[in-house]
Amino acid sequence: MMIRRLVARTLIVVGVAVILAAILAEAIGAKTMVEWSGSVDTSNVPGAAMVVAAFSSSGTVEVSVEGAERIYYMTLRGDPMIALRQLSTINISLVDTTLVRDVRAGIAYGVSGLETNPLLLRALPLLASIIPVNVSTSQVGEVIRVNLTGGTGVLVVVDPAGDEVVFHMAYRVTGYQRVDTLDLILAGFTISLAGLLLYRVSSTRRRTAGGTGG
Amino acid sequence: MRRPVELILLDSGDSLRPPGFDVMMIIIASLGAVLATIQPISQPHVAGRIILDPTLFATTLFLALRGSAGVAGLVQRGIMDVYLSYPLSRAQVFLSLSVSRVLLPALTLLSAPLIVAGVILLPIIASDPLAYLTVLGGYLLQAYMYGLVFMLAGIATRNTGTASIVSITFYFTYNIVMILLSTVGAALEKTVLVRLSDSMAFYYLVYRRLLGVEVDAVQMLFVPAMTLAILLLGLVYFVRRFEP
Repeated sequence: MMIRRLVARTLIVVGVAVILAAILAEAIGAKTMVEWSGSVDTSNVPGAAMVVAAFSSSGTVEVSVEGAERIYYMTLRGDPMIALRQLSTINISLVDTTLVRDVRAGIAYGVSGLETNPLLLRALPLLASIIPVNVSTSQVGEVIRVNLTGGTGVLVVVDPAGDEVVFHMAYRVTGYQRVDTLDLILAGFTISLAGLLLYRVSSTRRRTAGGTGG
Repeated sequence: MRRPVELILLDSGDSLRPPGFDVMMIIIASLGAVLATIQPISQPHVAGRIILDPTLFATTLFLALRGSAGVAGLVQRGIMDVYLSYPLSRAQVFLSLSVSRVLLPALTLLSAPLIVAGVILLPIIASDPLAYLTVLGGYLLQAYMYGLVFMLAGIATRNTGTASIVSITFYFTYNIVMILLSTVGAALEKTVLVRLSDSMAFYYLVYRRLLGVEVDAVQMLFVPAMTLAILLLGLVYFVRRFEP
């Protein structure tokens, strides 16, 4: 009897929460596309970087760079923000970092200046054995396209050609599907109703059992 | 076997009594609804992690109140003596209480938002329900470990207020140690400290395994071994504390 009432109470709560979710989905909802541009002043620093990390969504990110002489990119697993901070272990520090966390798209992205020895930046592909990531060289102007899943990211490192590097990022969510709003409302009402009926049945049985017993 | 189940059901009537439990469930389920709706989650284990991270915190606080202070209240009000008068061994009473005061509330509170998210993201979750449930298993074991410590605090202090304070202090200390080990380990480049910190969060290791990151078996065994040790310690303490 206790378990039946607990299940009934849980169903009522779940039903109400599903209806709330339907309203939220309609009012706010998730984003499936993000476009963003950011620039780094490289007049005082020898490098610039952009990081795009997916924390809840999966999708395809495209990054293009203006004002670059060389571009490297690395795919990161785990928490890309931690990996970014670990650059300090190879004497690369971040300056003037701009970081955006877009919850509705399930990603975080940002740009930063890199304070380091310029020779070290050019030697980055050789450091693949130190940083456990794949380092690739991209042609200037070429769009870097990487598929991301939750908990992965991409880091683009640029050896600048002038005083400013501009990053353009486009992220398209893939594989996201949810139940339609109308179906969610129907499901919410059905679950709540089932919970209320179960609660009513358990209460009636308890009263009946109490009556015959007394 | 039937009698311990009867005690579990009887005691659950108190530990899961409305409105406190229902209010907590409504808050947690609504949070699950919000988190599952406002972001485009596309993998079952990622959905599990995002929803259960804040839920574990709320569940732990609830266990500190109903699991710890509740057990202390049983001793204070003499209800424990009634439980101990049942034809059950002391070990059976302790294990039954660990289910009714810890496992059942934790399972219900952690499951409610997952069911909500499961309905909303049905096409995603249906692609790999096992991964979704595995994440739940990770968080449930962590909550069970916290809850056992809280229950022991309740039995040892026999005072509802002290039991709550001791439990919440233990929970925050455990998490602060975890953060400190990770931060100091990263700053000093001592990977052993970072690995120890990771080992203290079983749910995180389970999640990493599902992400495809390699995790040591020793690290994976840390929390389960600690849970078993606390369970055995509690069992011995309970039997001695309430000797006939």
